[in-house]
Amino acid sequence: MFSAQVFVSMLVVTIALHVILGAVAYSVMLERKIASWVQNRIGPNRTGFDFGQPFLPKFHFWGLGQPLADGLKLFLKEDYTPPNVDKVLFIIAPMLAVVPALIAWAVIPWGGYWDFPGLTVFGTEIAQPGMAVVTVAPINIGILYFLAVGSLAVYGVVIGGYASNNKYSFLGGLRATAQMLSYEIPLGVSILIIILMFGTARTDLIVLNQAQGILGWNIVWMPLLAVIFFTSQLAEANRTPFDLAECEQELVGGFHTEYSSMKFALYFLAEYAHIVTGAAFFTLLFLGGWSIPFYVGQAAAGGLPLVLLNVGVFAFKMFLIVALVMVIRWTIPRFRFDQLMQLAWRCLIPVSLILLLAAAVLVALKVPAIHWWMLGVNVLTFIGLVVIGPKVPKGPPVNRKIPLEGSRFSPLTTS
Amino acid sequence: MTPLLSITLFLLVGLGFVLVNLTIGRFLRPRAPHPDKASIYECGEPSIGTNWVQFDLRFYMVALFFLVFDVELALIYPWAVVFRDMPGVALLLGLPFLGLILIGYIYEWYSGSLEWVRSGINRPDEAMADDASSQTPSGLAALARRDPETLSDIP
Repeated sequence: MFSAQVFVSMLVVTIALHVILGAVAYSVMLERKIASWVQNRIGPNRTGFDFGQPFLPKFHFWGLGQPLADGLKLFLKEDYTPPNVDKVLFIIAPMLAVVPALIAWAVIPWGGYWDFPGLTVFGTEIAQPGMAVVTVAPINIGILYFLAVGSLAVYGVVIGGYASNNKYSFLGGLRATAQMLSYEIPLGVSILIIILMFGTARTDLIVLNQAQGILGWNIVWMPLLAVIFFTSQLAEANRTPFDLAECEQELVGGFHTEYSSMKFALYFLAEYAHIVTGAAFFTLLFLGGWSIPFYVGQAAAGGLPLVLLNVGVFAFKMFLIVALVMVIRWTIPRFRFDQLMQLAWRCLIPVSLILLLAAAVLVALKVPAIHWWMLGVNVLTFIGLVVIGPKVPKGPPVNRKIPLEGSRFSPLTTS
Repeated sequence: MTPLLSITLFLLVGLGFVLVNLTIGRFLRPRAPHPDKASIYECGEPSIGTNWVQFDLRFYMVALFFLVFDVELALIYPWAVVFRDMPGVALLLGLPFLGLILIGYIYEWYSGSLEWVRSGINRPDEAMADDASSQTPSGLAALARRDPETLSDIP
């Protein structure tokens, strides 16, 4: 009835959404735990699955009930819509923030290729046997889909900030827009280089091209590119050190200052969903997706055990990246906004364009062992960045400070 | 057709998740309106004026640059996909395109458009040039030259 691919896609839709939403909920818990470890505290360890109710059996489980309790609490909170907001946009904005973050998961190849045996229930054939990619949509523009959907995430933030009719929200929304727009370019260029190297935009083929143990992974051969992608991804997800849109000291809550209850929870969910999405795409672009490190002869297709193993490997790599993002949040202080824009426009964009040109020339010349060449280009670019970077003329001084007369910096006092 | 179907299905499930979350709570949560809750939260200060005003041009400049670069990216993706099939021609066609973008980028850099903090009055060279040519100081330099005693007439 269904072809193998359709059946597997439906299976993945049903399972992936639930598993990942659970992962997103628990990444909030992970964030709090990591924060407490960084700051030498214990962190949430009380809330068990009994939720403090006497009629439920006592079942503590190291505070793992915390995300569920948080979610339950957010359901029960008053959802207040202030009267001076733009009501329609105010309600639409959180949805616009969450949905793009969720549907970007559609192109992630979770577990490689499944040699699907077919499914027959009571003599009726439900799914035909055949080869299927363990993903929602095996489209040949997979990476482009990720970029397109990722760009939509801007709308949720900017509309939320605009509709709130609050100056903090408005500033937060504007900052988030400028930041997401700026960092989308290095993100796009770094993905472009991967496409150029592999000649395909299909996510499963990109992973398959890397699946040769750790020496096939892109992060080994293009470390600078991986750093650029990771940085841009952090900025796209509005994470520290790039969370200027919601920095508490200046803008209270940023674009979600006026939101409460479930609408706030949706924004919160969107942020963590973005982290998980970013981690998944970092895994598939640079960490070899489902490929097991130090194991070369990994079969591309197989039965259910292999698929489950692949999903496990993929999820573990994602977990490492998410944990890294969280450690970064509690380690690195926040940028200033002009520094943030300078980093995008004066550093990441030219460097990624240089790498793009180098990759194009190397592929066109059909050099042997292109991986080694690419590694050389990455290292050389990094050295050039460190050595030449500070010596590049900065352009006209449009922002020189005028010292007040009488201060010791004033050129006017001497005249 | 099939991938489109599964993406639509995924989109519907995602939308459904959001809508269910937003509506379920409606039957559970309390409702306690209060005049103080209706005020705009700006750290306790009463809010002055509406928020829907015109804002700084710098965000517009960023949007313009983004447009240029993003159109470039969107045009260059197919180029990257087919690059391996005809590397020579692709490189020959791609390099001038990238070169044009690069020229524009260098112009942006040296015209100072990439500076984030910039304002009209904050031009020390012009202010000081004015100062040298005429005896009546103008702009911020004039402000800087005022005696502390006369500062009181600044509104």
